[in-house]
Formats: sequence, C-alpha cells, structure tokens
Amino acid sequence: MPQKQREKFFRFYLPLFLFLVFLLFPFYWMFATTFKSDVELYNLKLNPFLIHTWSLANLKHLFFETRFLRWLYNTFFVAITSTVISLSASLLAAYGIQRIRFKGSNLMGIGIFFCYLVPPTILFIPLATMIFKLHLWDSLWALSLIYPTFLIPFCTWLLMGYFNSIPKELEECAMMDGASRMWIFWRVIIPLSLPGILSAGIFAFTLSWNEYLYALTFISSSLKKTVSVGLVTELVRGDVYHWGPLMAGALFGSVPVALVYSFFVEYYVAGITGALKE
Amino acid sequence: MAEVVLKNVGKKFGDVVAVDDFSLTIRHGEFMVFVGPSGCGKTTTLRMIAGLEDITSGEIFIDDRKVNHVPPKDRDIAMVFQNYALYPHMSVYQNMAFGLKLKKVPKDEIDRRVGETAAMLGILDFLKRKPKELSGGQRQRVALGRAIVRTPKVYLFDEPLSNLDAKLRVQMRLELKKLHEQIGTTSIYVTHDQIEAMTMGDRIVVMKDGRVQQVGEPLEIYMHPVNRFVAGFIGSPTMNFIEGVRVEKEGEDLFVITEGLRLPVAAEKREALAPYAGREITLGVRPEDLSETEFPDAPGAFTAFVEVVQPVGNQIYVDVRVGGRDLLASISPQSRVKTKQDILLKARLENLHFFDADTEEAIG
Repeated sequence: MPQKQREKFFRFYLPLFLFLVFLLFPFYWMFATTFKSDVELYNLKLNPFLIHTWSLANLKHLFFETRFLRWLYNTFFVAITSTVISLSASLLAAYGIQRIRFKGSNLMGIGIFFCYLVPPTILFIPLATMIFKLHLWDSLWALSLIYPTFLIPFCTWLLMGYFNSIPKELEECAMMDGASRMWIFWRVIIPLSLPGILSAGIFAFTLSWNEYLYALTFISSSLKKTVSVGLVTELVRGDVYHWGPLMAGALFGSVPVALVYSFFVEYYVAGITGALKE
Repeated sequence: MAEVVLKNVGKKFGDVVAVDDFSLTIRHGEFMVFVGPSGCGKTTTLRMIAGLEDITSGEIFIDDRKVNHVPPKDRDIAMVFQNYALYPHMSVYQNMAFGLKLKKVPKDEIDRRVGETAAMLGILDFLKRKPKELSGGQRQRVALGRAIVRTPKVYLFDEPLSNLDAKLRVQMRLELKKLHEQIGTTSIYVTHDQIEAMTMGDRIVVMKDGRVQQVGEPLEIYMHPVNRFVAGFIGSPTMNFIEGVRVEKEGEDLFVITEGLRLPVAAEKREALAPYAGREITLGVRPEDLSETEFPDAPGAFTAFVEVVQPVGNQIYVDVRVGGRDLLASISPQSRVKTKQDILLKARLENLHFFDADTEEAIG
C-alpha cells in the first residue's frame, strides 16, 4: 500500500469504521433481540451476537398484543403538530428579532434562550395545572401544545443564526424594488432559509418523537400514549422486562426518525453550518 | 433624471456622529462620487438617500420632493451593492424582472425590457442561469442590469467594483462610465478607491470623519486640494509632506527652507504665503512634480540620496532621502538612476502645495 493510502486508511477509514461500529451496534442489538425467541434470548450458552433460530414471536407480541400501531400514530400526530406550531412561531420570532431591530430585540433573543434552559422537571408541575384548566388532560393536544415550550426557543435560536447568514442587502434591494416586509419574508427569506428550516424541523420532530417526561405525566390512557411512554409502561410489568417486544418497539420506533435524517442529511448539515453559499 | 439635494444632513448612531452637516446638490444626470477612507460616512450618506437609514437631522430632496420619511420603495431609486445582492434562488431573468413584477408591469413589457437591458450588458446568454453559475464580473453585470431595467430616477452604487479583481475592475469602470453616458441618469457612486473616483466622477465629494472635506471636479481637487487630508487622499502615489518647513522672505522673494532643501515660492502663491514669513508650515509635493535635472542651479533643484528604485514601466518611483526625510519621486523611465547614489532632482515650483501647520488647511 503506498504511503499516502496507508496514511488515509489509519487516519480516516479506520476511525470511521470504529465509529460506525460504535454507532450502529445498538441498532444491531435491537435487531438481533427482536428476531430471537425468548428461549434463545435467555440461554447464556449461546453466542449473544448471533441469531440462531429466527422468530417473529416478538413482533407478533408487539403489533397484536399491545397498541403499538396506535402509539406510533399518536407519536406522529404529536411530533408533526408540535413541529408545525413551533416552526411557524419560530420563523416569525427569529426573523423579527434578527432583522427588525426593535428596541429590546437582543434582550428578547436572550430571554427566549433562557426559556430553553429551564428543565422540564421543574416545568411539568405548573404546566400540568395549566393543561388541567384547559381541559386537555389525557389528550394528544396537550403534548402538541406543551412541546413547543421547549421547541420554539430551540428553533428560534437555530433560525436566528441562519437568518444572520443571509446578506441584509438582499432584503434592502427587495425593499427598494418595492417589496413589503411580508413579501420579502415569503419570497426571499423563506426560500433561502430552507436548509435552516428543514434542520430546525428535523430537530423539533426528533425531540418531540423522543420526549418522555411530559408524555408520561399528561397522558394516562393506553390509547393515547406515545411510543416512548407506551413501550416502557406496557412492556415492563413490575420487574419483568419483555425484552423481545421492547427491542422490537425500540427498533420500529427509531426507524422513522432515522429515515427523516437520512432523507434530509444534506440540508441538515447546511442548516447547522448556517452557510448560504453563492 | 433627477436632482438630489441634501441640506445639512446628519446621522448619529447613539452618540457616534456618522455624518455631520452634509449639504450638497447633485445635478440632473450628474455622476457624483463619494470618496473617503472607511468609516468616513460615505456609505451611510448613500443609505440615507436610499431610505435604508433614518436621517437624524437635515433634509433630503429628490426632484424637489422631500423624502425624509418616504420609504425606499417610493423614492424611485435603484441601488447596486458591493456583494451584488442577487437573489441566489432566482435565475438571472427573475432577478432582473423582480422589481418590474412588483410594479405589476405587463409580462411582455417585462420580457422586452429585460431583453434589451441584458443585450446592452452582454448577459443575454445567461438569463436562465442562477447567480452561483456566473463569474464575479457577470454577477456584477446582472446586478447593474437589475438596477437599469427599472429605469429609476437615481442610481446608487455602493462600492460595486470592490469585489472584482484588479483587471476586471478597470474594465467595469470603463463600462460603467460608458453606460452612464448612454443612459444619463443621475448617479451617486461610493468608493474608497480614489482612482475610481477620479476616473469616473463628474464631480467628487471627499469625506472624512462624517464631514465633507471638498466637493469639485476631479482635476480641480487634484490640483487645488483644500487641506492636507484631501491632498494626501487624492493622487497616487500619495503626496509627499514635509513638516516644519520655514518660510523666509528675502527682498521681494519668498523661500521655503528646510534641511537640504531651499525652494523659491512661485509668484502666484507669494501673496498668500507672505503672512507666514518666519513661521513653519507643511510643504506638500506630489511625486510626479519631482523630476530629474542636469542643472544644479535651476530654480527648485536639490540633491537627494537614492535609497530604493522601483521601475513600474511608464515611470520609475525613486525613494530618496533629503536632509533626514524620505521623499518619493516619480521620474522618467529613461533615467539611469541607481541606488545608493546622489540624484539631482527638481521640483515643479508652481505645483507646490503649502499647508498651515496647525489647521492643515491649504495656503493660497
């Protein structure tokens, strides 16, 4: 192997490979556990990394003996509604703070960021009171409205950074051409910010998808649970872990997020780096 | 075409004065250049004319209409920005048609105007491309086209050529000038490059620290700068300044004297300089007003020691030392001047500049 290739192998491909193994192993573990029978799973004499006899029993348990599909639907519903609400609010907030330099706009930006720093463990009690008074207890809308409390600050900050990378002259030029603020916002800012909006959206979607604490507190009936809460509350009974269906649920619960990421990975990277390349 | 009038215009950012008491009349069809070092307020002034910046004090008129509180879109102006400000997600055609569409100009009229302008600028072949597929020069043309196609009353240029490489800049400078002669619309052009200012402007405004230093035609400013700043800013290479030069009267004649240098004052400057007899002033002499001579007794001749020789082709720049001071002379390329030798130089006396040592104002 020539010197240059060897160097590239050790400095690039080998670390990449190790990183991939580290990253993908949990998925493999979920996959392997899903397709093993209970007998094989608890037999310590067998190699735990291999599947000796394939079994669909865990999938059957997950899909037919729990309300997994319903939970999946609930999670989608909550993730999508809260993402849409958060993005709409954040786009306007971020644009306002970043570009309409009104008095106290900086302070407002910082204030919004501080909201993000308050942990849900402190917030869920007062929020519970509010949800109760709004008669949204045990309703998916409770989550759709609560998630934006941490999604909006996050998305706003991400979008503020992104808007900042769009040259101000573009807007000024449009203004002289006779465009109104809203027109500029729709026709110039939004199209140019698509990478930023997509990455904020992916973040929001993932955070809502994985959220646990609020979903656990505000939802009690089995039909309205999300995947993260449903799996843990209904497949861990007392101190009995139904590892097979649990892992199957984890696997199928993480697939949508993985798909979302892989479809938009380019936009996502551009959104994070905030670069508007000409 | 339009006349732009600024009356005592001022701009403050908090406590910082960006533009102070700026008064100027820009005539119909004039190409006016604002020039000055960065932070001198030239761009701020332009932006106030555009309506992108509020005015703290004073008044701005475009064609007798006071526009202090008129939003940019209603001022009938177009601006070309340094970074072109082309919409990256739109094609060249869409970029150029943007303003016309907003004005609800009929589609075939837009097509015609964009086509004509693109042909004039030589960008007809790029109409379908996105800005990122164009070179810097082509982008700049599109930006110009976008301004021209709207046929506004006034064009504003904010350092439009600074992002181009040197060669292209010279070419675009020429094209812009031709374009202005063809279209004839009142134009205001901001630059920090004094060569751009000299070559393009019908008139130039030299600014410093938010204040107008001098307004005039390029050569007028070059020949008769009103103060030391303008004298140093306009002209390339820059003027030599010799501080602590004594003015002495000998009979009818005046001399300016410093170590190694004794220059008679030209007749037309004598009267103005006479009150300074016995005092110290600052002497300014442009490198191109120093030439090599063979006659040591010629008026204005002096000996200098050559330190560095820089031939540039049509001229030779010679760094010389006279009485402990460094001077730059721009002499004929035929000269056989060598480093570490004495050279006999002669100053063109009628072109000497004198500045008050305290106020730095020009004398005479």
